[in-house]
Amino acid sequence: MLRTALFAIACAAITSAAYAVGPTVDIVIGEKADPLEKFAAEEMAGQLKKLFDAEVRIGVMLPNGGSHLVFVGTNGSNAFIAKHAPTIPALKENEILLKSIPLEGKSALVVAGGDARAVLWAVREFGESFGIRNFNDLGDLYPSTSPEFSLNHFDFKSKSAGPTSVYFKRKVLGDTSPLGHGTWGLNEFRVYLRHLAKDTAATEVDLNVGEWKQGRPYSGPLIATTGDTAGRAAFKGEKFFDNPEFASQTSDAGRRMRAERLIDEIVAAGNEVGIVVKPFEKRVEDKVHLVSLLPRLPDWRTNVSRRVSAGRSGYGVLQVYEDLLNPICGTDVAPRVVAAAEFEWRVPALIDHYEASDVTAVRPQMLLMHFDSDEPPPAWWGEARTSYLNAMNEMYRANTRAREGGRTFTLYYARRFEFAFEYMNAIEAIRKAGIAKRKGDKDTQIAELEKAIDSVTNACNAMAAVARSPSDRGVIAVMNEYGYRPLLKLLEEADAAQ
Amino acid sequence: MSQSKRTTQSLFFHLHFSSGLPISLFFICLAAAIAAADDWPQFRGPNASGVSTETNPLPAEFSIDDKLAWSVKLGDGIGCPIVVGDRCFTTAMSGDEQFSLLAYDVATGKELWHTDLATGKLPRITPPNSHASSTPCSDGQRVYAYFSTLGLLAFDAADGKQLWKYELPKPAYLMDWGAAMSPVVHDNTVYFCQDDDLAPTLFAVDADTGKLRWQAARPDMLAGYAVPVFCTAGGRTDLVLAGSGKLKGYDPATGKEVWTCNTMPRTVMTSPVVRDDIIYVSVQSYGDETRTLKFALLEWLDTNQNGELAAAEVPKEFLARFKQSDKDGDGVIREAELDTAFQSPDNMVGGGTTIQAIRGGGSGDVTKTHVLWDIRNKSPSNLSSPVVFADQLFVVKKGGIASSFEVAAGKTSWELKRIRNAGDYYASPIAGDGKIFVTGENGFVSVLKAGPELEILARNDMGDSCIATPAISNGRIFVRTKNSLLCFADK
Repeated sequence: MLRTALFAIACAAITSAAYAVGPTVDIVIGEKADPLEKFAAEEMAGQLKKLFDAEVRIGVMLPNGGSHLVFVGTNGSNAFIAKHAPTIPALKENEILLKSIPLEGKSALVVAGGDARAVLWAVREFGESFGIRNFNDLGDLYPSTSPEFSLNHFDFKSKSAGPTSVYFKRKVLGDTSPLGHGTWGLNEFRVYLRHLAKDTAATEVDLNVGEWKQGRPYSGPLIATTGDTAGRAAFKGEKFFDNPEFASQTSDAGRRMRAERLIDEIVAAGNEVGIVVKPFEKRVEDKVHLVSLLPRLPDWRTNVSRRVSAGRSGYGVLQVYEDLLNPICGTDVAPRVVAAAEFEWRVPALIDHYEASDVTAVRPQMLLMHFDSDEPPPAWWGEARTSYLNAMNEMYRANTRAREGGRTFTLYYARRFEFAFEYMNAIEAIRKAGIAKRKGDKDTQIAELEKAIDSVTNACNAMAAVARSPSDRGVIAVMNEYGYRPLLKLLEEADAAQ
Repeated sequence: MSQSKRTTQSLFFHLHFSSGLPISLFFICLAAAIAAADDWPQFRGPNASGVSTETNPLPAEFSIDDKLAWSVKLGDGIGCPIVVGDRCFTTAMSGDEQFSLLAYDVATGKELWHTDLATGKLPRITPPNSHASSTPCSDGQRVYAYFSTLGLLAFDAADGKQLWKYELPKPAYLMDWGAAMSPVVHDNTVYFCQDDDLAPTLFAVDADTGKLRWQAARPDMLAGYAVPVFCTAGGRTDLVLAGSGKLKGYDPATGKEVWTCNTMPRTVMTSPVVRDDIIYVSVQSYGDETRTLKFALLEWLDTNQNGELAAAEVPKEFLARFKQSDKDGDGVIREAELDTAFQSPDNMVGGGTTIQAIRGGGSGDVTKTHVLWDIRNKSPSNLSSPVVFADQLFVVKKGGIASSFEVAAGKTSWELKRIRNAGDYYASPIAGDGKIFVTGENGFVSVLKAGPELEILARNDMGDSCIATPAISNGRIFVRTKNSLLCFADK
């Protein structure tokens, strides 16, 4: 008998909750599996449990019993792959393989990669085949209807061609604005690094820790998030927009020490997934951050060529979006998302054309600078606003259509486009208020300031309704600090001057 | 039947004969007790008026840092707190598929009991709606609550034990808004209006037994969220319900429709208020009077924007209605079929705004006879109900834009003025002790002096976002924020 009588677990074994009613699956990894391969096996176990309510065990030896069998690893690390699947070719770096093989009258699945990283990509591909979709800002979204469990239909080999794979090796986290990584806690970094490992070829992350070394999460003083705060629901009662790892420290020295430990923890988290995290220090003295706070839908147009090169012919933009969204949102949602994207894509083109990146760049004067300008709102702002309005409406239609699927993705972007629409309303009103003030037209000045405050509030509330990450909350924080609060002061001054 | 006021007589007995107090101290206590306390037994208090008539002083300034008597953490929910006797009741989601009814001591905030209920799979809703959106009601003996997957339930107010359950059809909404209706109890009957888009119906259930007394189909209605109110006029008391296109009066004993006033716009999310024999409504429904349901269908349900509705574009619950509207049976609702799709041809009303005063006690169609005044301007909110207090009808809407009208003739006292608290307004204003309390979603409660002039007394921070309407009882203000229940008192 090839199957051994004893099942020895040499590394972490994961079992599902005692009352799982789905299939039993044994994942077999190599005795000397790379930590990244072990992580891949755990990732796969999580997918199986969530997709099929499976009971999953991870081990290094063949189990007894009639469970479903999965071999995870490389040809070199997992002896079972070589021994029991002689027909599997050696894989090159970046290549992945998902293949069902006969084993003692049954079927087993080989999930293999040319190297440890590619094994993780193979696991991602496995999850995708059952409808799991991974997004940078939303994490893993699972299919809206449970697929049928099967491990015996796989015959897939390719150079990894995931939906958002980008062939770069190094990623820089340099943004020191409140939208940046400075407010991420260890959990956020773990999620981010795991996403990078699953979805890209990045092996290095340069991490700007300049502000952390000062005990600060971002450049500038902490932004208050209590009291009169637009979109306050996003902050759940916290007093300041801060890094959760620092927030409990009562002294600057304590915050700096905690930051040092956090850096070490992040480096360790990167090592777990085969990514080298390299801290560096660079501070932004003039507080102008070359980062835009306006939303972008994931741009999957580049995936058309990748899908085609992977052998999936007939792929246009719509097919890529359907492929990505149908499992998690249901049918007929993708066309609306494409329509929304086509509207949204116009705005960066307008900003580039008019060389107007300062309109959306994060900095203290980002809204008030419009109050001081004598130029009337340019026509292209209206185009941008209309584009965001149309994008928002299309995403709301997508959201309506996703009623039998899942609405996480659609509502997230619908509200973010609502934010962008209101942002454009706000800057237009602020510009008009400033012009009215200089003309001595107090009534118009006040009316436009009130409109601007309404728009900023609406923008923050829209974002707060779907804020999932510290960066989302950072958008709300800067809109308060650089918009809502200064505008209230301007309005008070205008009222008092009447 | 419980008392709705704690009388001075019973208080006299308790203090003098049981406490052994000196007589001088007794009279001091008696003087204090003369300011009798009102219950706040349902959504927006007595008869959903939003008005507390008790004479206990209410603080103008209060916040999470000032005059906070107690606070408790709550799960997700937007149902309003209610107060009956010495208990405050509220609801919350306490798990992914678990709903709770909770009872607290009004003096200390101590949890007296909670009852958890498994909800089963939850339906689709649209944020900021919550599954725990309905406000319970109580007659002091029992607490009555509604949940969309469970129906109407009754619990013993003393210990939270479930006494009965009346299952209702699960509501269905074309636009997936989700349930947010609240029951009321009157004369030992629990009334519940489920105006959804599929089978709008008014139910009357025996409060003792949970058995159905009657139900009145409302087939000409579309989705709406008004609570039933009661108006005594012409020698009788009618149950009054605002709905799509129509304000209707029913006999509460039989469910027979007694009168109709066909002056409402299409979507009614606010509730009327009654003072004396007059019913006041304030409604805002998107668009103008030409904007029937067809336009909303084409804008939002026609997701591929081809000018037609396919079966796959409407919620599954409406398949039978879809087939009825698809008169030529080609699988698509288009052109003339869209004109009356999902909307009763007997009630093809559009959007618009109105603030009206309608005299109660009518019979038949009172559209031309009982409307005392009707204002069509931009004042109303689509969500926040009006309050009638100090001879003024006060409304507030998004942006903190408020208006006030004399109730006698609808004359404008002031309109469209900002109370300087921006943002959304989901909660309805409430009033008492010469003050109006206006709760913004941003968690600030603005306090205005009641009367014909706008005077802002205070702006108070509740520390968290607020959607629920607060409650007033015994000199205390109860505020349900997103994550907490707060109680404020002057001392």
